[in-house]
Amino acid sequence: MMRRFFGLFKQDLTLALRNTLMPVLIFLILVMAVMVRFVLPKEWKPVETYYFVDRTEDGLYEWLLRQSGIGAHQFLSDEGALRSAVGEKGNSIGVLFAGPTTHPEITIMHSERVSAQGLNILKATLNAIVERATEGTQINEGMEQPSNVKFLRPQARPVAPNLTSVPGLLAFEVLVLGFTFVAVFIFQERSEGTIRAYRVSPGGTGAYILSKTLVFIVLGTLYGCGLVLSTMGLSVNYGVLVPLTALGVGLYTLIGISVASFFKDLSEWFLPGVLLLMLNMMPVVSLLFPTFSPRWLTYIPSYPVTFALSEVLFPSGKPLLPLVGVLGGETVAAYVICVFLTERNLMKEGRS
Amino acid sequence: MTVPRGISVRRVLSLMRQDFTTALRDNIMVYIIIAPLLMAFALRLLIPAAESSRLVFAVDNSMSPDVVEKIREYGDVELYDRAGVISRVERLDAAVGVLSDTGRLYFLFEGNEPRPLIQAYQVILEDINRGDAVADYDDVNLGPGRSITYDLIALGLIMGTVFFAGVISGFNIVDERDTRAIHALSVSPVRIREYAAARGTFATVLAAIVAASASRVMVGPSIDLLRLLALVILSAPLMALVSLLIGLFSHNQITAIAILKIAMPVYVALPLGTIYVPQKLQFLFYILPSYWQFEALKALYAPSLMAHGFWFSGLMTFVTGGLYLLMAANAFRRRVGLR
Repeated sequence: MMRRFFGLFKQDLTLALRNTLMPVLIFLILVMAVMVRFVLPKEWKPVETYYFVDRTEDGLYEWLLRQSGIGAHQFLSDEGALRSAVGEKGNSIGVLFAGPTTHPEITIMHSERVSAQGLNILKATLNAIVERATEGTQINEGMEQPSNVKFLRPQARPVAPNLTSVPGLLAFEVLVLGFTFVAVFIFQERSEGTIRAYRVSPGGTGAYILSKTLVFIVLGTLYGCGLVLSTMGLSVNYGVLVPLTALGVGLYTLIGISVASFFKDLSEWFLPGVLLLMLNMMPVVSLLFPTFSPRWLTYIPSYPVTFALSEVLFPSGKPLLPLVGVLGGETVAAYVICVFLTERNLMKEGRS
Repeated sequence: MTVPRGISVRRVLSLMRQDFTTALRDNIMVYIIIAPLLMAFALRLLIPAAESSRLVFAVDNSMSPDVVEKIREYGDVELYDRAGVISRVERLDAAVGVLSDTGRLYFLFEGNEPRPLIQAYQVILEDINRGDAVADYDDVNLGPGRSITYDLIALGLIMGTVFFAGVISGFNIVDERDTRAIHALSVSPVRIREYAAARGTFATVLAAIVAASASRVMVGPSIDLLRLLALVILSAPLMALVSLLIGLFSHNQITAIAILKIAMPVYVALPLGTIYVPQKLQFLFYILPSYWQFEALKALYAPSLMAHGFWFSGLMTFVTGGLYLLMAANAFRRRVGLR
């Protein structure tokens, strides 16, 4: 039985390697490595652009803000210039300091997209600036050694923003490799009548599914390791990364087989398939806006996977087991559903 | 009916009718119209909700109501007992715990939060503890404003729509190569320019319908629809190029998907990535037709990021797309034996 399974696996692997898949994956690893290493920014930049006008007696605020690294182009000459700059760029905020330095009158110009809480946070920041200005200290002073915060675990090392894209690339590009390609395999086999022939052979549905899943686990894990190696080098715990990636690729391949069983060819599958892939990418919004994670979003398989991969790549001491447990549970459920759908939608062709 | 340069409009229309029939038969027509619209609806709901998401404070429920109300001014408050605060902070999303130690308020983090975020929370805590006002404030609301994130996502969706219209047309070519139907075409009077014109026009019509609808859903009537349609028409050579390239390099569906995996980042992700590239290095991307398409779309959707004018970028999309199309059509003609 094992020999039959490995025969099937070898056949699927040969089919995958024969169709320019490996050169394509190598090319994609290179593109992603160039993007991560050279294109994506290595420093945090605020989403909003701030503009300032300082009309206080001694211009202390402009001086302080310049000292803290605010660019010269962000300081404007008067209120009119500030108003038009904020009006033109809808995502910018203007701050006008006037009156006495010790108790200034501050005008904040903004679009209606800024919430009341957002404004209060901005005012808290400006209050801190005013306080430091009157105390004669630098803006960032007192921030390096926080005394009013505690941590559940020792603080993790800061992660360069360009590297934070790697877990996302793994979750939304590498893990879904099997989802797409296994569909094409199935359509090809369907059109060539291979599935019909397989159904009357001694091989079972389980072997059919597992052989394809194993092919993409091997290819996907190699693809994932190639990506991480080319972007983050050897500083990663590959002993954990490899099984986690394998589990993720396995899950998406099983989902891919289940979905593909409903369609008869690539053209028919393509747009619903792309739509599902986009739905799977929704958790990327939680990565961009960490405070946004409605409950429905957490049910998408890529949600726990992305955070688990993030923990492996940038360890912070967070327990991985619950995340891996969720992933394992989803994989088992996906396998059971996949067997049922393959039997019902694909293998029945052989019986008729 | 024949127009100059030897293109038979009748043959072009006949090829387009074939594509249309195949697309209608396989429900592709329905999917290509519905899929981007569904996506546009989802994004329209999701992105503003995400952007307006607020800081989450998991607060010890033994804290005084005054302090809780004060914290509520900066974000959403969830009340828990002390153990509940810790387990809330442990969850995957970003929530900060608010506890007190011998009457002194402190924030509790997991330890994996970025430093700038912790500093922002520190400033809030300072403000909560501050007694007297240190400044007087006046707020000036300048109107609706725009979100660059939202505009760029809308722009990406439109680019994706145009790209997929070319891809669908490309899949028809792969199908013709796979079933060897293309050999029948090679012994027919159909010329390569008619073949490319049919593929490009079919994709352009599809793209125009879907891009206009998706744009309407995402950003409403604020975009000049005529300009958008003009850009889709100027992108016709680019769409024909996408479909011919997929057809040229793919002899079956597996290679078609593999080629797609390369084409998609080059077409969509690379131009989008140029927003991070300094202006002085932008010239490196001038050879990409989709870069110019992105530039033209920036003029429509994110004018504050615009580096070139709409018409100049649109024309460059046409010219660069056309040049590559000539090369691809020549290679395709030799590969499949069309005249």
